[in-house]
Amino acid sequence: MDPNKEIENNQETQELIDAYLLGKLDATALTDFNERLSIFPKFRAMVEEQRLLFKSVEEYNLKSSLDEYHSEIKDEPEKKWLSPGWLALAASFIVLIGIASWAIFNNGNSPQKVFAANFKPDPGLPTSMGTSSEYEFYYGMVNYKRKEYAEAISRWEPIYGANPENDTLVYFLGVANLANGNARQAEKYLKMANEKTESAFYEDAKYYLALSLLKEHKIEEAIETLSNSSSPANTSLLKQLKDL
Amino acid sequence: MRKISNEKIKDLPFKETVALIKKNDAATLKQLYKTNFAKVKRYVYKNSGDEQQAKDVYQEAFVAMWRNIKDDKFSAESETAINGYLFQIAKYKWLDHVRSARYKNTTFINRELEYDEPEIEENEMQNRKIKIIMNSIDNLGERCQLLMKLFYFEQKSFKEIAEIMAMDEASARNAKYRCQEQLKKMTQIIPNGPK
Repeated sequence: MDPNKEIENNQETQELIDAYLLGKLDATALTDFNERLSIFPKFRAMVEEQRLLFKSVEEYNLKSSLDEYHSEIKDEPEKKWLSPGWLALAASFIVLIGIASWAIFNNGNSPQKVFAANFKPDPGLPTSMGTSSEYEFYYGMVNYKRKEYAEAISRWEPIYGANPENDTLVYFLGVANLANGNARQAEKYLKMANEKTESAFYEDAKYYLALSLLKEHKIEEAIETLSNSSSPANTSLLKQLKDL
Repeated sequence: MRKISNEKIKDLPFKETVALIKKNDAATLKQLYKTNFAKVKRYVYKNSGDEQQAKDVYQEAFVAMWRNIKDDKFSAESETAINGYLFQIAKYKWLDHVRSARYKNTTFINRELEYDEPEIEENEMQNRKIKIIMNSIDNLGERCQLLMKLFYFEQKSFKEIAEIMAMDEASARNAKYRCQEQLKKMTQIIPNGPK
């Protein structure tokens, strides 16, 4: 780059200034850049203008995020964590975990094995934009496909709040939660998906719902979920569950 | 999943937290936000405020804290210091509000309100301009808003933006340029706008 060249206000310049503001220029480019800054007041003004715009976009989006952060603060009475009640609860949890792991390790055929052998997250949908309001959904889908399930869930949950009836959304929220290790949440969403008998995801929703229930050791309920199903995957899973 | 991000933040060295705040890392910002509200709320309640007022003053303080960290105007040595700083700003802002005309005649129990004024350097001129640009962003199309958000707020590469918006990289570049030019024009036609 020739620092003595006058700078035009075009896409190239805008991208160069962005690289500078984002700290992405290498040492040589940075030296050139600073030289230009010192030589051309007009360039300096352009950089300042872009810096301000950058700041404004950031602040605008931060402010828009705050209410969402706020909605996650639960209105709970203050807890005294070390009160005898809490200690008792903690103690009973430890006992419970002990009993549960004893039960699991003493059970030769394990639901875990069946789960591990059968659980593979749905590959997801191709990201093609329809209407602009679907951006967030597809943005989440990109996260989902990259196995960034927590991110996908946090993008989809607000959309779910506004569209609780969307079968695609509840189905993927369910699978993402299951992939993220949260079978209880998965069960909640997949049960909703399982009620949408017209949905393209109906059979798949049953499959993942059964796996969520299996993960929660609700084997009877998992069997019941699959019992009216005819898809090969569901039939095969049903057989494995019955053998447990 | 949330648990993981909490722990991530707790265990991070302080410098990395600052770096994450500067990069607008959503998990870090959210955690910081959620951690400190209760204390501010208690303070505002104690000093004749209500829930909504606590929320407003807290959000204002949060933005001020974030801005000062980004501009390197706040150098702290620990995570606790950030929390303390955020609380100080909120407290200061609330007291300022309380002492304003509307509250002049209100009696309150806690008369001895001593506090150290935190350093909130605010550049009035710049703030005014930022406000004007933010108003223009509001009027930008949804697609442009998202592009600008992904590029400047989430600081994604064009490659990632292209993937998220289901377009190719060159189109993402062009679109971002056009959106930005549009935004610039919108702010310039406003009298006394930037420039």
